Amino acid sequence: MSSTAQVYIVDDDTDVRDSLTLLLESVGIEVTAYANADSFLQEYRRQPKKPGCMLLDVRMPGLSGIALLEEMQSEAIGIPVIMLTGHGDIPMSVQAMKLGAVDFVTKPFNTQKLLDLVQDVLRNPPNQNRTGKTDLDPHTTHQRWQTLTPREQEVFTYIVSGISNKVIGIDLGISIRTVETHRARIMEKLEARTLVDLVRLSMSFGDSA
Amino acid sequence: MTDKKGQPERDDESEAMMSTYVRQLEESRKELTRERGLLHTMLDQAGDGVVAVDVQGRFLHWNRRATEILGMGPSDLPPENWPGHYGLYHSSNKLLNPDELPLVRAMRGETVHGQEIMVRNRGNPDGHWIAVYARPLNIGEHHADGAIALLVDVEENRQQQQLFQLQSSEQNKIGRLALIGQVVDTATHNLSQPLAAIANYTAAAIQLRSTGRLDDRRLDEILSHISRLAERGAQGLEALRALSRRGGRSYGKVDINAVVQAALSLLEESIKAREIKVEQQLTPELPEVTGNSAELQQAVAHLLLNAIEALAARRDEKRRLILTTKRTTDRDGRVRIEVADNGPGISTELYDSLFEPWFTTKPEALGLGLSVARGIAQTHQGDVIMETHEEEGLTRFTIELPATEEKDV
Repeated sequence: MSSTAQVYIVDDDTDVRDSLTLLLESVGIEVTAYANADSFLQEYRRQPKKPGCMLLDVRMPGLSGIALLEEMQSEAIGIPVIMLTGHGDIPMSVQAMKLGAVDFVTKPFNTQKLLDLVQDVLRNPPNQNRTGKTDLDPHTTHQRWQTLTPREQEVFTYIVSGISNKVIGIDLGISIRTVETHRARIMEKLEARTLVDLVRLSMSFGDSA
Repeated sequence: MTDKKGQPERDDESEAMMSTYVRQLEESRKELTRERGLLHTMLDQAGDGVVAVDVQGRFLHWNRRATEILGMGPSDLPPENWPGHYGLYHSSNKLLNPDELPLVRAMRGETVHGQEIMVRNRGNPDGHWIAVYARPLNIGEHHADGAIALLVDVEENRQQQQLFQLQSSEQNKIGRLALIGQVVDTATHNLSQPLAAIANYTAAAIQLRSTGRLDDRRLDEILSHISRLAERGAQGLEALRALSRRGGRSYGKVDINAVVQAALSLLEESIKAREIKVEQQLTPELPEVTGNSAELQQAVAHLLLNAIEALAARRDEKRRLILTTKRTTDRDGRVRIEVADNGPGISTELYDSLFEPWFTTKPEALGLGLSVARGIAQTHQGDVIMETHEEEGLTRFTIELPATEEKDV
């Protein structure tokens, strides 16, 4: 790890913030922690930071994680962001991904996975245009998309909008079980393991989805 | 009174005077009889038994309710024979000693506050618990003129309590289902934050140790953090406990402000996630309410959830939730828990359907919250009321509950 590696933590929970700081420092990463989005923005506006990587809590009083992402997008602050989310924050996570977050981890997280993810982002920063587009091959993904039935394409659109299985079922007039079956088939056909993969794919599909 | 006009006239006058006195006395007697009659009628219709005795223990009064409660009428027997005659027992099936009888104690000048007695006699073969309140009766100024006792049917109260518990356990089941998603959300957050921090500290310690940078001071620091975080996690379980079956069926005096705070903490996460500003206006020293605190907490949580969901429709960042407790200023002085929000409000046409089960205007909601809240309020002799304040842009749901009164003789 190079000495210039810098991680910004924005989380209102003191315990999470302090412990993450110690964890990252223990592997030689330089950390600056902020208790809220505003204090980060104020400091950044005064003096822009080196890119590094940000760990951002999605739920915070005051300016929320999502609001900070929007602000960073409009101010062209090119720091790759990993969202820290709670269980069941899927709609918010999807929204965050669309606003350019590179990934999200659910609390409580596997510390090794988190460290790997942070180090990966620090080593290979994603391209800086922050449009939320990814580097998946559009041709391959389009081919996979074609294998979905019209119904599966419909369900896919709902899923990546962060809508729950229950509501998808009500909207499409099918049971939750059927939605679950569709979801499993979609994941299989698109070779996606997680919702993050699905959201990434949806962004690479662009207009076709 | 002097008269110079002679005897006969005086006699006539005395006669007239006498008859006036007699008439007045007659009136007073009638008045007394009427009042006595009124008093007896009132006492006869009283919900509790009323029995009064003179200094010798002879019954001066025995109302109808007393006969119903004891299963028999008054007798001329002296107090030492009462326990055997009326079948007055200790819980241990032992007859009461005459000295222990509330009326006898009151004749000695004591005040008896809710002595529980088992009554078992021909009229009451299965036995029956009563509570007796008694005190000396002072008609003259210097000494006790006997005693008066109030007989309260505890059994009936117990049955009412059982009915209350039955009704509420049904509501509880449905209500818990409707709330569970939100509460699990809060509980998950309450647990996952400290767990995440514990995992971080542990991993950091391992990392520092493997590179020889973990000195004793640092280790102590990390361990004390971990121990405190474990404690924080345990507290995080409180939200779930409130929903668990063991959340308490207990029926007793309830501090409404504490209930409101607890309900708020159940939904902390949903409030934070939706960036809602909570304004609390809790009145200190609110009178207590009689009931089940876990259920009242649930009822408040439903109103809060209703407001939170309504506020989700608001796009700007001025989402307000105003939580107020107060006492009404009228004679009854009922306790009010008000939950107001500045969400889009509810059309008055929907007012009638609002409290029906399964009625909802929100895609993700079950439509049980308001009906469950009202059900709980009603088992507590209260209700839920909705008001719209257009000028302030607020929709307000209020739980109104009777305040507990101090019962005395």
